[in-house]
Amino acid sequence: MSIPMPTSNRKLVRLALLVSVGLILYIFEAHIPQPLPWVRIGLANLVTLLALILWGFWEAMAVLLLRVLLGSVFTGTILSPIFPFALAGGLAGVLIMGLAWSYLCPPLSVVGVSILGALAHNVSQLILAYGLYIRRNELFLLLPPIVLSSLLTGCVIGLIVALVTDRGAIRSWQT
Amino acid sequence: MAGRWIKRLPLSRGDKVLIVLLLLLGVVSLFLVRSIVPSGDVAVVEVDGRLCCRLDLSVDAQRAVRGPLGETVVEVRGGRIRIAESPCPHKICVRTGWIGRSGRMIVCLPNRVVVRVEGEAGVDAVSW
Repeated sequence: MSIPMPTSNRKLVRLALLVSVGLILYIFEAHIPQPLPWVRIGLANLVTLLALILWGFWEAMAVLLLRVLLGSVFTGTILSPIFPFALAGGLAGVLIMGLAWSYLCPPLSVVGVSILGALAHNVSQLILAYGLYIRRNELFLLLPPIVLSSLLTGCVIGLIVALVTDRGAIRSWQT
Repeated sequence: MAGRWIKRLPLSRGDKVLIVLLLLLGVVSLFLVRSIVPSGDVAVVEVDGRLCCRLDLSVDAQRAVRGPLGETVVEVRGGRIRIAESPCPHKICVRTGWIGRSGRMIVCLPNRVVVRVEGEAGVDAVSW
């Protein structure tokens, strides 16, 4: 299996644009106060989901990897204990969203895909925390609030993406 | 009015099923966890995986522990414990607030501090 290179300059620019928008959202979100310590909206997931819908899995993966890498450089969390969490969460999210988009998408819509992605993101981070730092079963007491918050944030992101792809000029980007 | 608004949302039937399922799962497990776990009586404070001290939750106290970033202050009051001060950048541990039930924990990754509540018939009896 080979990763397809962007087929045109136009697509390359659009992918880069999505990465930069994702970066802005990521950095913006790092600066707004969080109402609850463990809940983040995951605004940057918007661009991953958009890339997935417009082009496909590998494009979404590329956008995600670049965004996570550059995002942690710009927020200064690269090589810190936070970085593996950002990476693992992102990878799990894009993987699950890719699978859901390919195989579950008549029953689900973008919103469902987004919810599953948020869930995968948060659960994978919890598992990583268990494996890497805190080897205690009690950690999984966090699962119920994580499920609920993923539901909420996944819904928000999914609805935004649904509206953007439904109304926005971004639909013509596909070609 | 509200009905029409919901109808206009771009949700498929599958989405609604997923949302309801996860909502049920989340809320039910939230209450299950709450009711299963009794309130604890000892708090264990660990720094970088090593036991730092055990605090009796029935005795109000304040204690400072040293992590890689500096001093984290834990406070016991009224059978509960919290991290009152921390040198970490995001203060997630401080905003976690008070914990008192057995198995609950406050984690500060930057300063490697874990505060865990333990009880007589604690979570030790539950296998996952």
